[in-house]
Amino acid sequence: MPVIAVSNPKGGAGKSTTTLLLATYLAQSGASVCVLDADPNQPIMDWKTNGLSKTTLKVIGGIKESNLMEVLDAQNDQFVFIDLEGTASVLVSRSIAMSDFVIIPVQASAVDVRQAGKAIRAVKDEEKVAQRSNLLRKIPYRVLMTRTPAPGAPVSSVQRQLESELVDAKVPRFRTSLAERLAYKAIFVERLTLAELGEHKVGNLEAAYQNIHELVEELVETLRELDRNEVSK
Amino acid sequence: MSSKFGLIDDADDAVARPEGKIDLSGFAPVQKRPPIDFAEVDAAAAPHGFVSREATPVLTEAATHGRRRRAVQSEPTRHLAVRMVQSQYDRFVGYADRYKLTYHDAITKLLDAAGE
Repeated sequence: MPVIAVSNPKGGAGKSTTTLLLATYLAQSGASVCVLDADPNQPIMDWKTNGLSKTTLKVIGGIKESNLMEVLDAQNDQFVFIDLEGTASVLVSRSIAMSDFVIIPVQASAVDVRQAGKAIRAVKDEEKVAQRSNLLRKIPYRVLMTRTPAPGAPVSSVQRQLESELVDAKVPRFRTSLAERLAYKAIFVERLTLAELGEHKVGNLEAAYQNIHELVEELVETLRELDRNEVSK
Repeated sequence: MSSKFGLIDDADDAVARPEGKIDLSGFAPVQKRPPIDFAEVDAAAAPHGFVSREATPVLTEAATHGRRRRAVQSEPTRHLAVRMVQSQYDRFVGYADRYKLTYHDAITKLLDAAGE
């Protein structure tokens, strides 16, 4: 079912990290997964082509405004992620319009949250456009807090304020956050999956693994719930 | 014993990973998307600053020299200045270039085709 766009017009919010962690974990759990790398820097394409990972994850690079629909139509995997560039562009808005679900990674910074607001408004407007031809069309989204302190570590007052503002604004978000972990940086350095990092002894790998497991569980649960709601209409 | 000094046993070190416990049944392969009007999508996103970041294709000399200027107008003329999003602009200019039409002839042709 799902085409999942990972978007925030702010650079460095954790889009590629989130995409790679979710996609590789799902692939490792037995799903057929594809990532369309729509970031001009091609971080995931570089990870795949220059690395030695044995993951079954498929990565397609060079996604542009002109070939997005064609490439997407050619996919038949269970999960297709679109890793988007950290800017507001036509490629981003078109990808959102073609997605079943949008993940908006946000760091605990005012700039990130304001930029995320831009992505949220774009999702809502694209949904309205899509509803002109299909009244039932929805583009659900969830904000994902990234680079948060590890469980047990002190949470900054800025993060608390931002989280409470998200609640007040009724912005849907993942219960699970993506914590700041050395292992998440290491997957790009070593060009391996989290599971393949074993012998590199990077930080608290088990905690990183547990974090991703919980996030994937929540994502799968959310997608199932959205699917059930759609069927019941 | 796997550690340098033999103080850590593999069995002690091993932490159970929650690997493979996620139920992924019921997720069918991605279906072909219904057709989407990108011009509408682009127009909705433009007010939020979502504009094209890709370079406009450079027109070749042959493409830019194909259109003919009409020397004499048969009726009074008016100016029509239109601001539009980049993708609409690219579509319209691409259309006019492809059929070697002036912009006003391209508009006329489109109006004729629409039965207006």
